[in-house]
Amino acid sequence: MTYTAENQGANFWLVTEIDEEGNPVKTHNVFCAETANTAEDAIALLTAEPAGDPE
Amino acid sequence: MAKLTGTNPDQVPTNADLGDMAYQSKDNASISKIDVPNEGDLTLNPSGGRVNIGDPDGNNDYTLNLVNRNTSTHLLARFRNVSTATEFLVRSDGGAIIRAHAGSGDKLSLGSNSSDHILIETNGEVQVTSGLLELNGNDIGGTQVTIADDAVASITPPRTGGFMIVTTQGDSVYPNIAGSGMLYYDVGLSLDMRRLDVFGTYTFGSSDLSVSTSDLTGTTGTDTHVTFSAQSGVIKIENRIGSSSSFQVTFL
Repeated sequence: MTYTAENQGANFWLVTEIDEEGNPVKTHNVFCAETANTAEDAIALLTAEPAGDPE
Repeated sequence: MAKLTGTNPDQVPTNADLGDMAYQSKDNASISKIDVPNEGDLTLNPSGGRVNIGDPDGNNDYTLNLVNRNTSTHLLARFRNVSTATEFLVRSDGGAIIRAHAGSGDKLSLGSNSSDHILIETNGEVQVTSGLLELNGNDIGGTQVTIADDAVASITPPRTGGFMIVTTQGDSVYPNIAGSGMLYYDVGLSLDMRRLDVFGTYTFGSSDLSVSTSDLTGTTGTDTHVTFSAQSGVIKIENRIGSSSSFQVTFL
C-alpha cells in the first residue's frame, strides 16, 4: 500500500491509500500540527503505530 | 475494350454482384452484417428515433432497447475499456442487476469525473466518501479525522445542531476512552457545546473530554484532554492527548 497526500488548506490534508494496482482504496482526513505540516508529515501521522492504551 | 460490368471502382455492378441488397428499399433494408472500418463512423438516428437490438416488436418508447434472447446467459450489455481492463456490465439475472468491474474487484460507484462519492463494494461495504445521509429530511452524517498532538481539526456537521458521538482510536488495536463521549452541539447563532450526562449523574464521556465555545489553536485546552468547541458552522477538535489520534465522529 502506498499513500498520497493533498493539502486542502491550512493543516488539513486528504491522504489516499493506493493499492498495488494503482487504484485509490480509501481517503483519510488528516490534520497536522503547524510545525510539521507537509505531505510526508500527514502520511506519517496516518501510518504511525497506534499509541498503547494508557489505562 | 474494358469490361463495363463488375465490382471494380471503374465498373458498374450487376444485381448479382449486389446480392439481396439490389432488391431492397432504403426505408426497410435487411442486412445480415455491417462491417465499419476503423476509420469509419456509424451514426444511427441522428435526428431522433429509436434503436432496437434483439427486440422483434420494436414497439417501445426506449431510445435504446437491448433485448437478449439467448436463454443461456444473463448478460445484456458490456462497456469495456481495454487499456484499464475496466468493465461496466448490465445483467438481467436475479442477483446483480448492474455490475461494474474494475481491476481490483467489483464495485459500483456514483461520482463525478474520477471521484467516487458513493461506493458499493461486493463485500457489502458502502462508502459515502463525502456528503451526508438524508432520512426523510433529517440529515445525519459522520467523519473520521486523524489529528496530530497539539493540533486542531475543523469539521462541518450535517446540521447546525444535534448530537455527536465520538470514539478515539476506534479503528485501531488500542481504542481509547480519552476524548470519547457524546456531546450536544450548536454551531448556529447561539454557540453551544455540552458533554452529556445520564440521569444527571453519570457522564456520557471520559473525564478528559472538554468542551468550549472559544476558538482553539492547538494548545488552548487543558493538556492531556481532547477539547471540542462549537464555532460558527463548524466544530473544532483539539487533540492534546499526547500523541496523534484518530477520532470517529457520528452525527445524529
